[in-house]
Amino acid sequence: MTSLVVPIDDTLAGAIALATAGDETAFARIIQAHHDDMARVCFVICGDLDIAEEAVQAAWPIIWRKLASLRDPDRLRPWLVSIAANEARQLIRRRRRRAVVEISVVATATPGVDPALRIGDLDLANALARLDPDDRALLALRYVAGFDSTELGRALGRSPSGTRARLARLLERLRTELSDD
Amino acid sequence: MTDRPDFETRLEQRLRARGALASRPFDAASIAHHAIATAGPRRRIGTLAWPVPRLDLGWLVVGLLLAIALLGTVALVGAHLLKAPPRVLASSAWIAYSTAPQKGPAGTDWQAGSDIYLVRAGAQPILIAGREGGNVWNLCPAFSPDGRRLAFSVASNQGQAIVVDGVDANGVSSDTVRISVRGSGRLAVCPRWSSDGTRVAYLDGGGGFVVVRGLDGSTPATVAGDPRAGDFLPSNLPNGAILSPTGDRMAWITSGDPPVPGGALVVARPDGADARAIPLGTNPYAISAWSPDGRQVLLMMDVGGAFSMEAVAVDSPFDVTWVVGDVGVSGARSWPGWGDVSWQPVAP
Repeated sequence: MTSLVVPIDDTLAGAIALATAGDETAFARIIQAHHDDMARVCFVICGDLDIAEEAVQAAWPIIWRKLASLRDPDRLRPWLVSIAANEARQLIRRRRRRAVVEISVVATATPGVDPALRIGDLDLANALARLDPDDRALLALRYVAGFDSTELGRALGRSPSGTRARLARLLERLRTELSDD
Repeated sequence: MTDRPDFETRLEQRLRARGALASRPFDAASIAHHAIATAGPRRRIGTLAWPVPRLDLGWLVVGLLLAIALLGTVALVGAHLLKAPPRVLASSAWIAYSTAPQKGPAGTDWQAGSDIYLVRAGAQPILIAGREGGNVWNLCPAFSPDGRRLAFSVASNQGQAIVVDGVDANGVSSDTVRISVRGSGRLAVCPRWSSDGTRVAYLDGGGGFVVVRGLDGSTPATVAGDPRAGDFLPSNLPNGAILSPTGDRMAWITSGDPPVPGGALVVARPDGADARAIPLGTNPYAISAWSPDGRQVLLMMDVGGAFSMEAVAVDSPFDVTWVVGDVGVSGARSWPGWGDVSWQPVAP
């Protein structure tokens, strides 16, 4: 007796296909694989853990609705991170009316940690807070998510060369602000 | 002097370390469930369950002008976020709404019929008329112009009627009038008020004409100020938009469509000009009513299986007020296709 064995596609490409068809479990697999990455990028953009979490939570319903538009499964991660980054930028813009930019005092202090590192973290947080949301997103996508120029351009709606130029100017600015000379 | 490559490398390390601060445990299954429930149907929402209006050239032109106006003049503005604490509506007005079929007791199928609830921001919904195990349809609540009475339709195997209840600050009083009517089979006989609030009118099911009834059950002749046939027709504005009470604006909702990703409330003049898209922190499935003063719209959401209503101001600063929050989906939920929502004009 022969039996037809259907290979189970447990790759993310398979999960994408299933999720596109409405499979909630498959969608949860995608979330499991990428939620943390998205949260990290959003936190660098927002500077606030709660706002970052809110941005990621806001991104997932959008992703669910637009999943069918993702043609290349290999682009899943940059696509997801871009959507989350966009939500984070929008949240930051909406909160621009606030006169004081609050720096989230994250409980990072652990026994034995060099206070100089703590100060450095605050300096970085302050420097990021002075950037506009697009520049924060540029830094987060480049250095936290590891996007290349093409992916950066696609995420931010710019050409790769324009993105590189903007990044270079941004680095010069931060070099001055964070100089430890 | 700081070496250039070293600075970029160090910056990357610091940014990665900073990003790592956001790592925390999460429940992927719960996030997936909530996202799917919040996302709404994978189609454009804002289309109510009304008969499709006959498209003619005029409305096609309006639709094109609307699209052009929207793309050319949209302005993104701030909006409040999810999980805003409940606040009392400025006027403490009641909102009456009818409900959809709901889940029966555990293990049973969807239960037919419909309830009518009264709710105001900061309070739990009050059941005004119940579906009695699925045998009764209570639909189309409508406040009188002075806000002191609430009329609605009742339909069951025993026939159809319009019920008029008195309303006070505590809810519905015992002052009830029941007017038997002749409807058209299963369709609800939705009441409309005369401009002076002394008479109710409905569409006769047999002849399709307007019948006016006094609150004493009499059948007086129609006079100026009584509802006309056109008052009973659903909105045929583009995108399922609803017209403000003042007639100077219309509003509808979008879901993830251009020009605003994510849910948005769009407000425009009735000819489509001056369109503004207000990003929402939620994805409502329906826009159900304007406030009587034309300054807010009522949106309905199904968030993770819980029915919620929020009132959104259409002008800056676009305040959001939760009216009903987190009612279990097996309980009271309102679908504009099943009935109506009515916003009390003046709080007694």
